[in-house]
Amino acid sequence: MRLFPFLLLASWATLNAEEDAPLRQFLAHELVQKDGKLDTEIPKQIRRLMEVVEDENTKSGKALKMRVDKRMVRKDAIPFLKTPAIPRTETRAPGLYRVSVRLKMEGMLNVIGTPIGFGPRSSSGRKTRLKTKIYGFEFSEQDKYHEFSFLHEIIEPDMVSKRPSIPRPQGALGQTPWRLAGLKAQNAAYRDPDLQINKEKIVHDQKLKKLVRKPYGWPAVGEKASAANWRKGSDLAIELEFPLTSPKGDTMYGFDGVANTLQSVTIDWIKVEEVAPDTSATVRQVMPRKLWSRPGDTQEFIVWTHNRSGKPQAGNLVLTIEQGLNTKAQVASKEVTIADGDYRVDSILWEIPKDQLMWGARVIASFEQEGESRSSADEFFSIHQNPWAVMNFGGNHRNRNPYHSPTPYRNYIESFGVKASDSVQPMPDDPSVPYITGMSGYATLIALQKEMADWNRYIGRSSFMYLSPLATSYRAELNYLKHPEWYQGRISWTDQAHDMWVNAENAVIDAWKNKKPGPGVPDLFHIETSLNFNYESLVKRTIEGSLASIDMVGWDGIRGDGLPLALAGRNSLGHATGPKDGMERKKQSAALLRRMRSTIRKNHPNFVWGSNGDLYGVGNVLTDRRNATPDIKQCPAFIAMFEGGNLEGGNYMDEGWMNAYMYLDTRNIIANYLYTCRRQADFTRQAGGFFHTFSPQRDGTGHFVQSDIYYNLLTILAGAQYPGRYSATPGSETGSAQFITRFSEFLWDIELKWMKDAADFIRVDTDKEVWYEDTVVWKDLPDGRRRYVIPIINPPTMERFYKDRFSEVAEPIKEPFEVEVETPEGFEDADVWMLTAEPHTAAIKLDAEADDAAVVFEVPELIIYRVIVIEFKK
Amino acid sequence: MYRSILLIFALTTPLLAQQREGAHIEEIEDQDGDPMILLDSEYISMYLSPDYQSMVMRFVFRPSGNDILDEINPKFVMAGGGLLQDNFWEQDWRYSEFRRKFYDYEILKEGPDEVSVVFSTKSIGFIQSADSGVYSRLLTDIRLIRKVTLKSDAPYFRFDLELRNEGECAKLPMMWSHNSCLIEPDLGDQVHRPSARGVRSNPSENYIYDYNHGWSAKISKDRKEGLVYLMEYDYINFMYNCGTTTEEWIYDNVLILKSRPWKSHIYILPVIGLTKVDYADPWFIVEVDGERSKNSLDFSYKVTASYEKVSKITFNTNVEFGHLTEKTERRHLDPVTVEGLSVEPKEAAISIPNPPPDPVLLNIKAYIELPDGKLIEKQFQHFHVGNYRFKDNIRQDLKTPVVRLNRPIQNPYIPVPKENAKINKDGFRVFAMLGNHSTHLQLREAIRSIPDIRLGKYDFGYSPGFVVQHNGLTDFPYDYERLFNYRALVFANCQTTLPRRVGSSIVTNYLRRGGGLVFSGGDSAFRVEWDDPKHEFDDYVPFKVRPFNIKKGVLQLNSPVAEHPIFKDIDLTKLPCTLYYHDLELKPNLPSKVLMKVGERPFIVELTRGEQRTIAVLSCPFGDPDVHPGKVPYWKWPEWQKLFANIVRYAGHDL
Repeated sequence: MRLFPFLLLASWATLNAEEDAPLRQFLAHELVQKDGKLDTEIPKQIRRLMEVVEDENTKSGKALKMRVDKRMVRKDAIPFLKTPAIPRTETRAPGLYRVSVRLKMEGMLNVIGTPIGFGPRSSSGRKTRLKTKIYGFEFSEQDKYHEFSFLHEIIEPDMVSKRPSIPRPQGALGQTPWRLAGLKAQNAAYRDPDLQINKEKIVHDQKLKKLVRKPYGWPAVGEKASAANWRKGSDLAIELEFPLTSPKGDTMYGFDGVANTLQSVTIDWIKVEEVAPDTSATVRQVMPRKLWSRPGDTQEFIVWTHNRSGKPQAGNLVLTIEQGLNTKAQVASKEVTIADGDYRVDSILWEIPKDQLMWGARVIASFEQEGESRSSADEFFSIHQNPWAVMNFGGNHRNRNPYHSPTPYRNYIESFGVKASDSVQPMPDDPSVPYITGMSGYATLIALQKEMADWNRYIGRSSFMYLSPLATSYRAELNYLKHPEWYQGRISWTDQAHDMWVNAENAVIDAWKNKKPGPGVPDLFHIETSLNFNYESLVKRTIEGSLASIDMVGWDGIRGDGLPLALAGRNSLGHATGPKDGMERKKQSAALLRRMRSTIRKNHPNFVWGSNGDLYGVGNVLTDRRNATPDIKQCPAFIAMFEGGNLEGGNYMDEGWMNAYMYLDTRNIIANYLYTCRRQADFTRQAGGFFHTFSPQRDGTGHFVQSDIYYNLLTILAGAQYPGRYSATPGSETGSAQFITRFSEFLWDIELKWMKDAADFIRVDTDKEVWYEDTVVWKDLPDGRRRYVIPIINPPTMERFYKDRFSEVAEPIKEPFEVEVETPEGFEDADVWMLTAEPHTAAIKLDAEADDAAVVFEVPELIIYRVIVIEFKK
Repeated sequence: MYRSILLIFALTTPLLAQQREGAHIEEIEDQDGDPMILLDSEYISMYLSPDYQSMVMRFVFRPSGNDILDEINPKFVMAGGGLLQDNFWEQDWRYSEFRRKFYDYEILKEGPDEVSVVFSTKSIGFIQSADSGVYSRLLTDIRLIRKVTLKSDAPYFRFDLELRNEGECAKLPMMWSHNSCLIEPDLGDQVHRPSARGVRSNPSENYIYDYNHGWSAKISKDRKEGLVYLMEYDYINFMYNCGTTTEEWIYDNVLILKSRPWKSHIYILPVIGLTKVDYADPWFIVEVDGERSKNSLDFSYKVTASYEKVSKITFNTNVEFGHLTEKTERRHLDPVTVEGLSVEPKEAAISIPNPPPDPVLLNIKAYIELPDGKLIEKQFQHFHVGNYRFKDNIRQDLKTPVVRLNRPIQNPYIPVPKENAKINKDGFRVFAMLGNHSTHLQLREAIRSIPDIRLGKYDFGYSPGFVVQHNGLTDFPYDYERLFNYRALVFANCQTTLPRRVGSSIVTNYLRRGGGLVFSGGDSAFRVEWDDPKHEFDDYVPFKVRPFNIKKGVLQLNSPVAEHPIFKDIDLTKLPCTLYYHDLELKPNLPSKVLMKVGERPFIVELTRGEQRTIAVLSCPFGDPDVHPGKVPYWKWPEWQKLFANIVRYAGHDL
């Protein structure tokens, strides 16, 4: 039995498969032969790996066998098969087509390993790739034919189909001040519903087109690709290839690539079929404009529909919001009519009540006729007062929705290194002209930052200002010269570096003032030097500079790279400063932080603070499992840094987690990693804040390899957040980023407390090892119920990170297994839910037997992870 | 009889073949398909990777079968694993130009007696990091030639490093040897470094500045296995260990002239049977353990072979004690001898009856008899802390050592000028070593304003003013040919130690021939001088230097010696002030003259001896003039640039 029968959404798989009409079928061995021999136009290095073989398990008796060269596949992709293009004029386009392949493999099963790329080719920048990848774990056995398929849509150009653009967030890093006009224009264009829907206007408005040179986040729209000649447009060709197994050219024991696991692939046929036409209007997509909004905000839902039913359709578009475990409420209904062959985009506003439930939400847009849903689409977003509570960097997925690109769930944008000289001088001398940032050495402009923050707010992404506690840029020296006492020691700087910085910044300012093209910023010598906040003048400089930046730009908060306002015991002149007692210095630093926060909140009540590292170095203790957990009561400054709870709490980022993969780090043992993460998250919750870890060596790509999967997945199951993309997981099509968007309440709620002795109360009845006992949390709900959250994890096949060259996949548990949880005292009933991303994001209520002793239920199966929520009732 | 011999031969041949298969070298691919150079012998099997700066990526000491680089995985380049990594101290190792760089290579010897491979690359010479935008001429165009030699039947290998100058001027990188391995990943390793306070084994003591021998060791006491590195003592700057994960040292005085490459070598010796290392040299490696019994203090010397062949070694020991009393005493102990040194340690025991209280110092002379009968004498010391209450070589003040062990003077190569070398007085050229803040003192502008000055592109060397990681000096005239073309040198806000000891010696030779010298102040100036041993260059510094000698204070400049040439055409009617000043006193034994004061302290001082003129200006442009309305700090004084130009001219005999 195959683990994952098809590479497509179950909902797409059920699209009248039995009625699909065959369009073309290509026999693989025929595609590579000419006059009975391998086509000599096939490159020699590929041809030598290719063989037409006799095969009694194919109708034709022949098949194409392609071997894998393990050296070649480490260096580049190996494309080896391509069907003739099917002219669009010979299809029923627009419409859905099922593309299938029948093939078998020799190689390792139950691995991610070397994939087989399959599908039409798409381009992204300089790279091209095929639509899907088939992995070793998707084969049930070697040398046995399997069929894989996906749905592909042929659709008119965007200007005809009215495809809604997915708005992209913007951050200062990498954007020059010279982008300001363009960003303003494209952001304004996006805000204009007329232009948003009728993109043809931009295409034909030369002035607007020039300004909006490359519509940000909008698919390129060629002038020639008009509706009239679209049918003559690009044809459909299906390809197979072995993609590059190691993107950086290294096989780093599962860091970002894998060693080859395939010996050969034998292909019988490739088939393209037309999917039976729709019978009603279809809701193609519902897109919340804001991925994150606060209660009281206005949310906009953009609903995209089409009608390919052959007749006009009239009905209601109904919007329903689902939250928590099962709370549903209809929030809008709109009568719509859609002509046959037409598309429409509806904008439906929702005024979010101020007392709306917070955390994750799902919106379902349904086309209803006679009170029945004919078609629906859904999407996920967050509602929360505190952007830290729902911080999400987005993730990878295996979603193959044929109608639209998946939503990038990133709702947090940090303008890294954006300050002029960080804590010694957050603001440039003249905020009206560009400056080069101290930490990252790029040119930026306050007005540009404001445009970006405004835009991010419009599309529901939080904007955070980066602030280092250090002094950076040439201004570090200028301030040092005036106030050497402010510094903890001499600065590592040179006059040459000073010249470089001043010249580079002057060139930028000069070009800006004279309306010349923006000069590039050369590589600049970097300085980071420590400050001593025993001086009120410096404290004021940092607080007032930060406040001015927030006033002008509108940042939602600050992500400190360490704690600013730290008092040191000595200044650069060698004088003892401040309290002698180190603990007292730290307490005074904490008081300064509270002062900074309260000062900013006078103007900006929603301001929140986050910090990399902690004042006491608590992280250094917590991250080693062998160390005892400190008593939070002994860490008043730690509390001061992150206090505030769900609504106002800060976020504790521990960059040291980037090294957790190192052998000598106890977190290198993956079970320790999970435990340590839960402990640190729980500790931070006791202080009233959120906790986020860090990606391995700052690689936040979210690779589809076993180590990276667990490196980022385990953080969320341990109650922490992760500043990088979540990897796709083998069992899920919609991915972890969508899962946590929907279920953040059950993962990141600060009130969820760690149940350290969970193993004493919970029994999981399966022969296979599963992890759950180290990361169970609980809370009492306001209505008297008690909630348990029990993540159940199919553990990795290896004990340690990055020791897996082939990226094995944990063997799934395919049969239901029983879980028994002791009923806490005073409760006698329970509801049980399973939160899952396997294969799609969903909250599924499980049948359970409960009494005052225990609740017993079955988990239907487990591929990588599921989260059980039990709510005990009195 | 004949049959018996054949039988013996038949029985022993497989064994001999296994043990004496010789050394082997081969270009291979590892399991990931990466190209590697395999060097293999009866004792050692290792991979060197051309793609990863030719560092050692895999290292197995065959007697134990332990791959000490497996768990640290050098392919995680940001984790720093691997042996014999090249770095410059001036660059952050993580972003070093050598990291993940391909080195060209050639196999020189293919065995079976010896195999060797040479790798080569050329430096770009960044400061701070690759692509920082800043280069140092002292680091550019250096050809790094790395030769690795493995001999058959030798439980060690040799690494030769040659730095050739393929540029135009002399080079002086702070070459950094970086090694990281895990001997026993699960039970842990320990590091041992020789120092004047005894062997330092505390992993949190990362930097060792008072090293006193050229070795460093990493041992797992639980596994009784480890590595010993033997390097050239004369060129060490300091040793560094990142806890117990790395074994590093930074070289000093690595002067690379066009005509003279810098050459050095490292021996890497795996050891087994030792739980620590107390001394190592080319002839032996020894662990010294002391244990107090009821009536005696018993020492054992566990001795293993080093890379030179030895017949036997006799240790003559005297024990020194009473360092914490008024009288230090010594007692001679019976000599002990070890023979037949090999990888496995040989042990010798010494007992001290009626022992003195701890701590004690063992002064040990090793008489080494070589196979050819020659005798070599080596000396080392061992500080035995025993039951001493502070558990270290430290007195009650937790600062002063109980006893300071011998620390030989280093003897790096220092060139001497030709006998007839003279300062070139044809035109006026100056080289300025500029620390921070010279821009704000307008020193470059002042120098450029000198009439008929002949300034070249490379007549300024920039630096932070002190030796600091990820930064460095961008240029300095270490070549006498270049140096003697300058009439004067300017050291602006720099520690005098910045050009390193070799630089101080070269400059001293220049000053002896009448070269001019100007010191300008600042937070890095007049802070430190050479110590252990002292250097005569510091006799050209007129002040008693000390750290943190800058004070805040608005003080008036005063008492100019108006008739002195440096004040030629200077309007002294309205003298400026300081906002911060150097609080320094003159050295009493030098013929220094104060030419201007700040408050009651010196501000400009002349130290002239014979033809050589030194002028020191205690400038420090700290302070915010805006908060002192009406006060003009000297760097904003209209006469300042001209005054400084005059000072330089005077030092260079142009006034």
